[in-house]
Amino acid sequence: MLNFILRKRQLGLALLVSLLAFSGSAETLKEVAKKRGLTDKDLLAAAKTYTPSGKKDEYLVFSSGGQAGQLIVYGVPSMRLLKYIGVFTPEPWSGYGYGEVEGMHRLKEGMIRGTKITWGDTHHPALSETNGDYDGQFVFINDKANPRVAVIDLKTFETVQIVVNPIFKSEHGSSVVTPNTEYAMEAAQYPAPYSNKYVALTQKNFNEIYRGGITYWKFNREKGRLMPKQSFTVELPPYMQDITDAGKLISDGWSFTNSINTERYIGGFGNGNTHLKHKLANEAGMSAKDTDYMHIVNWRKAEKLFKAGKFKKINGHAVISMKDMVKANALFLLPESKSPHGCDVSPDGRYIIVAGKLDTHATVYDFKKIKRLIDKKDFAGKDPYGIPILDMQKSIHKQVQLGLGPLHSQFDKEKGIVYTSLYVDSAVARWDYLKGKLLEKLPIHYNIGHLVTAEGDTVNPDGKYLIALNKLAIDRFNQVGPLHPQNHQLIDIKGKKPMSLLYDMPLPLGEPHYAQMIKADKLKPVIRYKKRSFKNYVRPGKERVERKGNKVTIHSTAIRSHYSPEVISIKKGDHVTWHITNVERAQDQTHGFTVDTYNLHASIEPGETVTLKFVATKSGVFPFYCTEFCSALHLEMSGYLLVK
Amino acid sequence: MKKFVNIFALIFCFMFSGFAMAKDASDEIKYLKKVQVNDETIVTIAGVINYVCPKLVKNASKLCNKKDPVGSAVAFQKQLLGKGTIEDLDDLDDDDLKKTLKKRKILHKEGAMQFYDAVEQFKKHFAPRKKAKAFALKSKWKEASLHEEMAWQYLVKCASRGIFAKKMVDGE
Repeated sequence: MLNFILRKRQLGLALLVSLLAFSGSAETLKEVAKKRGLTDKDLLAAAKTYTPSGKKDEYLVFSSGGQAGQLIVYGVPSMRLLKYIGVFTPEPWSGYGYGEVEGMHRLKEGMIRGTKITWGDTHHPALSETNGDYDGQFVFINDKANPRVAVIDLKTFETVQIVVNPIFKSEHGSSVVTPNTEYAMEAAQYPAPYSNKYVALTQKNFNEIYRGGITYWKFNREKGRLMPKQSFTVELPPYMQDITDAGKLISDGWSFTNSINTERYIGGFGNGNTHLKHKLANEAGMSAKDTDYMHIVNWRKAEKLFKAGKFKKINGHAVISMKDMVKANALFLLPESKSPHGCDVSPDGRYIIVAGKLDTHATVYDFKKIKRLIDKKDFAGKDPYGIPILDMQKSIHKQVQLGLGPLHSQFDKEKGIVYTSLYVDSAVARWDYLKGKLLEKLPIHYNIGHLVTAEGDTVNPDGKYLIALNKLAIDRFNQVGPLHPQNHQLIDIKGKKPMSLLYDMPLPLGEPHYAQMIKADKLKPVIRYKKRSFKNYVRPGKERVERKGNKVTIHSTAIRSHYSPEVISIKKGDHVTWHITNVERAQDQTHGFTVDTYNLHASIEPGETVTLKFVATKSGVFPFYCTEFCSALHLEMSGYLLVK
Repeated sequence: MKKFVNIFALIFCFMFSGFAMAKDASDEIKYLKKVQVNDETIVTIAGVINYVCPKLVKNASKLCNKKDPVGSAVAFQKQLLGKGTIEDLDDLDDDDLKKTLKKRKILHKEGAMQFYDAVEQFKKHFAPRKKAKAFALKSKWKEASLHEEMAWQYLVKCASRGIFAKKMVDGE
């Protein structure tokens, strides 16, 4: 009996211990939710975004890095950051702009009037398109501050070209591509003389000499480069051209560009103005009129004029005059609500949605109506430069009241459904642009600018996800000083359910501006470089140092865990060219390279040969080493540059 | 399955502690200790090859021979490359690489590529070991020790890649 009782007690004790052990080690979902104060809605959002280790994302987002001058890549729905691509700004990790000749050359390409510019105000990425769909080959991005456009090759995710606009002094409506990436477009923003000469800022000069414009940069897909000599600009009045979109399908061959300040107002507000002191601020005069103008350009006709030599060269660049464009029936103006912002062409190419910004409405224009007016030459008048103006009412399909401060629109997979950001309301509106009906509004946090849906500006939007690109999150994250992070908010737009907020992703870089979301399986990046494709490839066993006068060329290899050669002596004043081949093939065997004091850094991916150039201006002993933890003996992967 | 990883971890600990202990020892002792460590590491690597090889190829019974792990590894490399070179495989895009490896009866693309690299690192250890032996025969212990050390470096690199390959085929 005693034995039975003891056994029973032991059994009970064992059960209790195992129960305690179980409850201590394995938390249930309910327990975690309770501890962390999560609701069922939160758990559902987590389940929709959580991406377990090793699982990949369905979409990739290419987001402007704003004032950081970079391009950011992240995955959706996980919102995991994948890459920063150095574009207009040096990027230390990859070594872009730190002595490696390719990166140095890129940044040199972006010099304006002899000035090296090491930042950029990137705004609008544009993925290359084939038949109006993203093709995953290239992405373009602009620099508003210093009018430039860059090309990033999506095989390597590296910047391969920067072109400087030879006549603009700023830009904004860029980059936008035509449906087969024939052109990357760049619309000016703040009017200025095309020449680089000083022209006094008087109303007369402003009206007669200051100019806007749209540059159509010809793209050669095989070369993967913009072709400046085959590119041209359409001269436009000194209105501030703004957001631009390319026509598609039935509107293919046309482009649509908003504008502000068609008043041509020049402000002078406040103390300290050197002249025009009597005037009110820009913002007062620039929004005086009820309407501004959408610029409608037939770029195929402009292309014909260019090919026929109907242009003049300014700063070595072809400019087609407004007069020739009007004569060729290739340039028109269409009134739009004053100071508008977004200008977005529907997937079928028929409708153009312009968001009012200062108006609570979005206006849906019908391209068929516009085309009819153009074909019949049914114009409401002409602007001071002789450009025909179309009748606004005769061009409109619908006007819909959405809320305060409508800005940009992106399309859904479902026909007629569009999403528009409401800046002042801090909300996203879902509405039907065919029926002209507001369906739903979702609050976001806060200051939304652009928004992006999956492939939402192509001929085949994918729906599913929307990201609100919000500026300066004031209460969503831990405080990190007075400059707040940006907030990319992921929103579920699947099905006909109400929109629901899934995730907040802070980004500690510049203003997000625009982004594009592409199906991940469209991207085919290379995994590693082909060694033989580099002309300065150093074969193992052929490492050497060559000297011709004061020109020293070092041919090095890098492999786990040594450079060859490891000790190199040169003389002060030598001009050094240093080729380094990473002879590894394992895809994660990247080696870094730096030399003390000389401000050099390179990231050498497997199979890659990089070349660094510098002048040995200082004598002394300079260790060099691998900056990536490449192997167990990584710290030993080092050497000495001895400068006598 | 985790046994091999644990063995690696133990061996690394042993190797590093052995290195520390041998700090003041003579070059001859250092060399002999390193030879012992390298021999043991090779035994472990052989175990990994025998474990991973059958998971990488369809015709494992023909190709993977437990009695000859090095022969198995080299045979695996030959099957992977077909009549081409590793650069030819590197030049393929991902979809084409998958198709090519499928034709060559390779079962796990990522694991196979890691395993290939592990074997490449392993092959590199032969030359310094041979030189080490030659120096040892001439009682040039410092040179022998340095070369044996270099061989060890390649074995470590082989081991680290081998662990990657094992993790990938096991889906860890």
